[in-house]
Amino acid sequence: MTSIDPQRPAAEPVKGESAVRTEALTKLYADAKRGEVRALDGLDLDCKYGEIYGLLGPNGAGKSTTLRILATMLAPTSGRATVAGYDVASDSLAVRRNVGFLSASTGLYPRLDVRETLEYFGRMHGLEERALADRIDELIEAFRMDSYVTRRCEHMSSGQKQRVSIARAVLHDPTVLILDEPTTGLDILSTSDMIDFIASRKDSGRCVLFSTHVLSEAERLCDRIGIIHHGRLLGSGTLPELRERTGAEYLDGIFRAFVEVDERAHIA
Amino acid sequence: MTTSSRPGAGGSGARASGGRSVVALVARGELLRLLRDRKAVFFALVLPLLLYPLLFLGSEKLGQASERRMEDQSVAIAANLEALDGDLRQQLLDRLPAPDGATFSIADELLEGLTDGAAPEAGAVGEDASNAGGDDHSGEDAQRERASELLEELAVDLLLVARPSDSEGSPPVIVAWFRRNDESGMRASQLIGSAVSDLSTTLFEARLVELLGVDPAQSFAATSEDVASVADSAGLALGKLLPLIAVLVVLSGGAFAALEAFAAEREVGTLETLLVQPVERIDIARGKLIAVLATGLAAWIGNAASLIACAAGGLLATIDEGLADAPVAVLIGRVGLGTVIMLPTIALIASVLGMVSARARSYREGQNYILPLTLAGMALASPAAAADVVFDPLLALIPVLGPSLAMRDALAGSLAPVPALVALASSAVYALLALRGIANTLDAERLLQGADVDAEAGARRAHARRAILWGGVGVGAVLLIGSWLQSKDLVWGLVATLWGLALGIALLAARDLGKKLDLRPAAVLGLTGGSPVGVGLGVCGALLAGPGLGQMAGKVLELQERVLPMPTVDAGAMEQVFAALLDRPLIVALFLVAISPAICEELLFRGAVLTGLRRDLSVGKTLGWQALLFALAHGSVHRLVPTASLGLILGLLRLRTGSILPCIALHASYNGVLVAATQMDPEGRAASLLQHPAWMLATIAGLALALLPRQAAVESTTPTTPTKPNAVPTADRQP
Repeated sequence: MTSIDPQRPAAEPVKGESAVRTEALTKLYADAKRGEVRALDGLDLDCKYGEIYGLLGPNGAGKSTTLRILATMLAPTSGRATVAGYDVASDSLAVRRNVGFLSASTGLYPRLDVRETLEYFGRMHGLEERALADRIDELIEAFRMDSYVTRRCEHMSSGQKQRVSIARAVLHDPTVLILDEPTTGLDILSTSDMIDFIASRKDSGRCVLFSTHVLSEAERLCDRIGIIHHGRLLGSGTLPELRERTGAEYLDGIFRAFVEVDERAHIA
Repeated sequence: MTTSSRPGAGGSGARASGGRSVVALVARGELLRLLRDRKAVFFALVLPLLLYPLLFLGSEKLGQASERRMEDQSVAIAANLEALDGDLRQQLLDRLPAPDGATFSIADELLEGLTDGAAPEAGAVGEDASNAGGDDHSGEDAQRERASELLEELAVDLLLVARPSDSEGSPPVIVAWFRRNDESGMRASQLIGSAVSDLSTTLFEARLVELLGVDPAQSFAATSEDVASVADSAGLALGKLLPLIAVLVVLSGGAFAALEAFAAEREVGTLETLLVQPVERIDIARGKLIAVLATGLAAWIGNAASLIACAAGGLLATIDEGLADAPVAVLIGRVGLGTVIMLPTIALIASVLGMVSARARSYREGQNYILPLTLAGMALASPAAAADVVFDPLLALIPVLGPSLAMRDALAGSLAPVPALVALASSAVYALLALRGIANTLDAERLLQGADVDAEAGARRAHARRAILWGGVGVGAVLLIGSWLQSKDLVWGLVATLWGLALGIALLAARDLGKKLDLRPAAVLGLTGGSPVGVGLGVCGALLAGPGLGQMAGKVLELQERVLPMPTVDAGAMEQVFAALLDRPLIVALFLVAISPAICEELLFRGAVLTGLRRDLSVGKTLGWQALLFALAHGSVHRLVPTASLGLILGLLRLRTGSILPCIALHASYNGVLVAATQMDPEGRAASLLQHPAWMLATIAGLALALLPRQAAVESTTPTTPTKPNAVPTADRQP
């Protein structure tokens, strides 16, 4: 029997402390033809509060699997992961209270309007009615949603939907925001809005962990970048650190250098 | 701080904001969204409401249209009956169906050329004017031609002519001329035919009375009177229809809500959002289930209310005349009682709809799953439409069927309380089991992973495939080698089949699967699983439930005989085999028929095969496969349903208790009843005791005792919750 206290999350972020941490995180899948597939192969990550961390990798590298494990949607096969100090396996409810999650495939209920959508998820987070109403007003203003606040999601443009989705993800003011390829499928304006939003989260001392395969986004936004390939973290650091390690100037060169080393190691 | 965070595990009554329950929040959200979907509202709620008015008004309109059509098809007859004497002519004219749309005219032209004595046969009525054949009947041909001309000239469909008697004593002849290839002509000839036949019967009877003073055929008169109340007759008529309609309406209404609540979430992409909310997944699933249940129930209540309104409005007279006069208050009472009896079944249907929809990747895929479900529901509910299917405690135990029969009898006002209680109690147990099953429906791993999981499942099935292979080897060996051995010597062949083949294959499979699964063979066979208390309860419950289930299987076979009668040769051969086995000393018969199959078959199917299947497959697939293999091993199409059903119950028992021992106990007591019935109770006294409602209640209690407390699961690598460790008790691991 569990109950959810209608309170704010207890853990207050302290800048520079670990917000997301994984140790030897492994996720195994099996494939009839390929045999056992390691979607994650001993992944070690460490993202801090007040930091935007970009997980960079090609399709199938294990980015989504990592983020879904961190959002408690998938169970790791082995290894350990903590988010906001809570273990994803043994304390998943606490993790979910401290995490905002958004992915490119996230949808909205077509027949609910902005306020109803936010109320529904706000109540799930245990927000008090008065506080919830205030918070929704605040978000409607912040994301400039006043003009379509009573419009059902099915009648919104993709940009409008995107804003509602972001508002939904930060409704409970999570200390850790996990975004899985958040700009996939967005037009230029919506992408730009999203990038501004991600940048804005850093100031409040929150941690943003996001995955992308768009190098320019990572270059522009990230304090640190993790390069993931074949389910392993090949390298991690600030852009200057990565440049120094690989001798490449731009992120595509850096990325290529890491992958080539890895593939050589695989062949060997 | 939360104490547990295992999504899907426990956690009922979790609170969201302001003390609101998550379940209520989700249910309200689901219903709100459903009510805004016009299509779903129409099909789930409005259509059941309009069904009867549309149906009955439609059939009334159809009746009216068909009457109008009949009027449009009025026929024109030209007649000349001068040759008949006045009284006879009047009697014939009285019978001619002028009010039914025949226009009737007297035409003198008919006297020319048609009244000659060249009639085909004396007394004949019909003459086809279109048939202008014949060689030397020139007179006849001339008449045909003349008739044909007159039909044209007078623009009528039939000519009716009475020819005067040509000699003393012979009667006048009435001839009808028409065209066979003309629909109106045919209709006119039928009208004339029946009028003439009625007249001749009346004349014959009058003549008999005149000669004998009485009609000798009427030595006595019989008549019957129905003393059932108007309400009872009306209820009887409704009872044949309503259970099936109720099941269908709940299925179709609930399906919209279930697809919307479970399947559409995945398609729209909101499931992901929902699953990262800090609430227990079981509470989300329960909230959704309540919405499905409420929709199904609302659809049925709307449907029933509209039926009662139609009855009050006199629209139902087409089903049964009594329905027009039945008091509305009584109808409301009976339909209400029927609904109460159906409540657990409605919950069961809602749960199954939820579980099925949650497995669909899209709304459309979900719709594909609903069809077979609807067919199954129809198959289970339709025996209630047959008045001769007696509602007894055994049938009461069958899900959907039992409550349908109870509803039928409740409507007719002849509900037997004990079977009704059995139906209510058993359907409540099924609903409870299904409600527990809903816990795993929002299993994120399977739902979210999509293509990855498909690939993963493909490889995972490697264990399951191995288990199915071993099961197949077992079935093949039993069917091919076993029947050969038994044909040589029935008793020793059976012993060799069970203790040699079945057990041997079970042990080999356990050893092989144990290596793959990293388990000791004993653990694969289920010999070491489960807590002592749980296994003890399981064994006690199984021993209590076995005999009743055995009896029930007999009932199922009886029902099946109606659809798929067993060929007499097969039935005879089977009876001979049973007789040969049972006709032994008690202990030997028990050993052969009850104990040996129980131990050997259980170790193979519920032991090795089930453990291997469960490692890779969902509970449903695991149960289905092992039940199918078990049923196939019995090598009879006719026993497929009862043996597969037993297999399902046994499989569930193994999964819930974690041990093979309760399965052995249930199987042995199920088969043991057969031996006991033949040897110790040739008069069938005990058999009738087993059909007693009290014993049925004991059977339900036994099943509940064995199945409801979940003590230990058979390990699966399909994580039902993200946090479930793939732990196997260390003692069971291979050293």
